[in-house]
This record gives sequence, C-alpha cells and structure tokens, in this order.
Amino acid sequence: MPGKTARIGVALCSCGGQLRPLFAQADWGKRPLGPGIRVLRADNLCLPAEQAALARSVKSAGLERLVLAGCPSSSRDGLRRALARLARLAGLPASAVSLAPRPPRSPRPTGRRRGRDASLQPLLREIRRAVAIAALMPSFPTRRLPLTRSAVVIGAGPAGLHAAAALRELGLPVTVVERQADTAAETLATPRDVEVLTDARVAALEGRVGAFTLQLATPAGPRRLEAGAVVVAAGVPAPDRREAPYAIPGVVPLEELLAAAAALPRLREGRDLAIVLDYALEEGKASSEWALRLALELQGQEGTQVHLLCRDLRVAALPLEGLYDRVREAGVDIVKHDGSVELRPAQAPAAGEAASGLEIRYTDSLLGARALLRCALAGVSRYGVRAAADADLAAALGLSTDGLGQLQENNLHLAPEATNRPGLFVVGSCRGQHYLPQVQAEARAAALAVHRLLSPGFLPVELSSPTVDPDKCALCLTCVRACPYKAMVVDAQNEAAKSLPEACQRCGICVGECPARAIQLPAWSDAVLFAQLADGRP
Amino acid sequence: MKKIVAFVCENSALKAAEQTVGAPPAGAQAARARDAVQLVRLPCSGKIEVGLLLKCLEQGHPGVLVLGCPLDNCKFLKGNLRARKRVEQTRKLLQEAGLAPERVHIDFLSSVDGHKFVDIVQGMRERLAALQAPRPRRSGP
Repeated sequence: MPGKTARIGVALCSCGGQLRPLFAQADWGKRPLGPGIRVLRADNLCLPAEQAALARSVKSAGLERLVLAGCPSSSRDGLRRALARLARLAGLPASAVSLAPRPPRSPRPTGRRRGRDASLQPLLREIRRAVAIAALMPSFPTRRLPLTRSAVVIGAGPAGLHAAAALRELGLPVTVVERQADTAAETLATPRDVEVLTDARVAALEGRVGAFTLQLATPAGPRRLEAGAVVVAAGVPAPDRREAPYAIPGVVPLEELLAAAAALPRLREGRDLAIVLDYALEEGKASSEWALRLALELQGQEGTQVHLLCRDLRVAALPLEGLYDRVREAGVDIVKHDGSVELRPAQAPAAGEAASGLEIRYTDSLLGARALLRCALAGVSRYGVRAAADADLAAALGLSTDGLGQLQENNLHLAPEATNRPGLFVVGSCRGQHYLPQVQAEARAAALAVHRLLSPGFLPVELSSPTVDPDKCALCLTCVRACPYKAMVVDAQNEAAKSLPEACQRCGICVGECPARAIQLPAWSDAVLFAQLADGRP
Repeated sequence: MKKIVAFVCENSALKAAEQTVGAPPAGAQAARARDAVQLVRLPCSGKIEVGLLLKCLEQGHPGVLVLGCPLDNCKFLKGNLRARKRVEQTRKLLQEAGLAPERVHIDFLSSVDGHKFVDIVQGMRERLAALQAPRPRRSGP
C-alpha cells in the first residue's frame, strides 16, 4: 500500500476528435477527478514525437501513475502499444500505467447535460474508476541482480554441439555436459574453446535464473558448475528398430530400394513400386524427406508408378513442402494408412501360373476401408522416432513435459526454445525436433535467447511478486507445486513460502491456490479487484 | 439492477470482450452482451478464488462468469486448468447450500473470439432467466 498518495495523471489522446470537450479541466463537470490530478493531452499518441512530448510532461510533473484514455473508436492495440512506449520513455514501470477500459456502448444518451457531449459520460466513469485503481497501486522498487556470464549445455549430440558453437560465436563461455562416456563429439567436430565433460550426469539444479548451480555426478566424484543459463539438448533414447518382413521376396529395407528396383526385370506393361513409411513406428521429417526423394527418382524412371504409403507426411519445413509439390506433380500416388499394413506374397492369378510380386493390405485412413495394392517391390522403412525424453532429468531440472514425455509443454505461447522455467532453454529431439536443419536453426535461436538474457550483465527485477503472510502460511507447499515457473520456494528462516521475483511471471495462480489465503499479488490485490466491481451503475 | 460479473483474463477474454464495441462483429446483439456484464480484469483466470466468486453473488450480482484462454493455451501454462477446478468447486458449494450452481460458469475463448463472447453471455442470461429461485443474498439487518 502506498505510504503517500501517488501523483496521478490522466492522458487523453484525441486523434478521433471525440475527446476534445474533455481537454479543459472545467469540462469534467460537477465531479472533477480529484485535487492534483493532472490532465495531459495529445492529438495522436501513435506518433513518436507526441509520445516523447507527453513523456517529458509526465516527467516534469513528477507523475508516478498514468491513466491513458483514447477515443472510443481508436484501436485498442494501438493505444496499448502507445502506452507501453510512453511508459518506457517516461521511466514508469508497467504496473504504474493503465489504459482506461472502453465503455460499453450506451444505447441512449442521458440527455441531462445539454450543450455537452452526453455520450462521453460512460468514458468519464471508466476514467474515474481507472484513476481510483491507480491510486491503490503500490510503488514497486526495482533491483539489479548479478548474472553469471556463462552457459551450460546438457547433451553433446548434434543439438547440443550446435547450441554450444552458437553460444561460443556470441562470445559466451560454455561447458557441455554429456552423460555417456563416448559421444557424438567424436564424429561431429567439437567447437573450439568449448569444454565437453563426458561421463557426467546432472543430479540436481539449484539457484535462480542468471545464477544457476548444476550438481553433476561423475566417476571422479560430485562436481558443481555455475551458469547463468542452461540449454537442455538431452536427446532421446535410441529407437527400437522394428524389423519388417524382409524375408518375403520383394520386400526390402528402404535403403536398398533403388538397387532392388534397378535389378527388376523390365516388363512391357510397366511396374508398380511401393514405399512404406510408419510401418511399425511413427517416423519424422527426415523419413518423409527420404521417401519423397526416392519417390521422385523412381517415378521418373520409365514405366514406373510409385505408391507412397504413410500415416502422415511430415513436411513442415521449408524445403520439404516444395519437394512434396514436385512429387505430387510427378504423379506419385500418396496414400494414408492407419498403421495396420500387411505385406504378403501375391496370390497366383490362376492355378498352375507363377505368382509374382507382392500384395499390400492396409486400411485407408481417408476412406476408412480396407484396401489392396499389388506391386512388384516394396521398400519399407524400419526407422522410427522415440518421443519420451529422460523423465529423471526433467524432474531434476523442474521442467514440465507434454503428453508424449517431451521436455516442453505443448503450448503455443512458448517459443520453440523456451521452457516453463526462465533461464532454461531446450533444443532438439528431447523436445520433439528430430529434423536436423531445424535443429540447427533452433539451436541458434536458443543461443540468442541466452545471449539476450546474459548480455546486459545484470537482471532487472521489479519487486512486485506475491507476498506471503507468514502467520497464515502452513507450509503446505501447494503454491510451490502449483507454480508453473518454479518461482515459489520455502524460506526456512521465515517458515513460510517465498516468491522469487526474477522467475515469477505475476500470473496469480499461487494466490488462487493457497488454501489459507496467505498470498497476495500486490498489483492485483483484492482491493484492486473490488474497485473494478465498485461502480455498479449500468 | 446488478449486472453479471465477468472475470476476464487480460490475455484473451478481455480482448474478445473489447471486440464487441465499435467495429464489426459488433451489432445490436453484441452491444447488449457487452452492456449486460461488468468486466473485472485478471492477469490470468487462474487467479480467481472461490471466496471472490461467492462474494459477487453475496453482493447481489445475478451470476458470475470466468473467462480464460483456451485449454492447453493458457498464457501462464496452467492457470485455466486450475480455474476450471475452482469453478467446479464453487458450483458444488452452491449446490450444497441449496443455491443454483448455474450462477457460476467458466468458459474458454481466444482473443479474437468476439462472437463467442457474445454467445457465452447470451447463454448465461438465458440460464439465469430460467432460474426460479431468488438470487442469493446475505440476509440480516
């Protein structure tokens, strides 16, 4: 709660001209906003020059809170953007500025105020309410937390090494931690000036964003690593290779398909060839690319019709969609099955005649019906992708997983490299990305995110995170478990829970969860919420 | 005459509600929907508390809506799931107290679903109109 009354200003932007009548203080009518409330005005706050001018007025008047009101016809997003820039220019934190809500459209003007624009009354009410709420808003000090200017990458596979190289290019010291004793680092070149610790397992993660401590278990004993940020590129366990019925004549592994097709006798009536994906395991983009390239090559051979059977073609990457288009144009027959594919030698057409070729029975997932394909040769892929990453590692790092066990929640608010924990980033197959060109791009994105976090040298933190009443807190740990960002910890000294402002995202979930009602989110306190309810007049 | 209270998550539902004023898809129906509710802004639907919902009914509001991001798309990852559980809990409490659980309702919409906001409000108004029981209030001197 503010000790003294904060100085509040109201900024009116009248690009639509509708707010001009409000510009003079006298026009506020019988209920002025309050003593000392400054009214500032602008003609068009979308213009940077006007933003700068208004920011200067805010500073010179020493205003600590600002309510912005625009014409009812203005774009809300435009006003929000202008307000954000205004706050930055005027040096005000986001919690100190607010946009007056647009009033509901009143069907009839009240008519009592002749000579004034009666339709402005609802907007005035919203402005007065926003001012009342601004008066309730506490001032939050900011602190600068020190940062450890180095990163740790977990995993020395392709994803981890790409991330390490990108981090090194950005000038950040980086250490790679690898669980296995021998690594892909032998086949992929280790970036220069990057230390790779092999045979080292991550046992625990402590600390806060900008100052993490990793506890490692190595054959030589436990070891600690300090880092400002962690990039998780832990990969997934190797997939089982399920064998297809390669004993059947005419069924070959996909890597042998081209050679087998070349060895087939040329027949006058042409031949049908099949490529089968997702026979036993779900496959990824790499398999789709492989199958599409094979299909294109074989279809181009004279007298050949290629049938591509798959559960799904995964082409969500830049070169793949164009490749798919070319495959369709070439006349390849693409069919979707539901996973139940049977391969059998062809039945002899009539008694006494020789059987040749294959029969493939499958359920067409579009038609929902069983179908039969006869062909001379089928290349069946035996590679699948495994989804679930190391659950123990996820638990040790406090990372939430999705339904498949991948190290990233399935939420479109998360950027590809982001996790639920500030300061922890994720790349590669452990989050479901198996396609190498995209892994490279995402490893660079993760490195840039780390760089953005660590390069200022300090972490600016606004002390506006939830407060816990130690008298009410029973240390039930509900808030600790409920926080999606692991921003609630136990303060042993106080014997109560405590919020970490550098990780807290001010969502208020802990406030809602606490059974003892011991937690308050200052900028969204009960007083603020009830102030929004207060004016009950329609 | 007290309005329906709508606790709106500022990341999705608030923007959908704002869509109903001014430019299309607003029409007379949208204007009526917007007029029928009183918006209370939240950082996340996960912040609502059972006590707060009951307090609104106690103060004489006929119904309470909680509107958050679509499931699996909460800006704060888990808030809307927790809000759903809490609204279920509130409805059970209302039922145990002999009051209509329909007075509290949770729904999910994204920031461009202005039309859905109108439908949700309309549905709430219809359900409230169908209730015969008097509105719950604190009785006393």
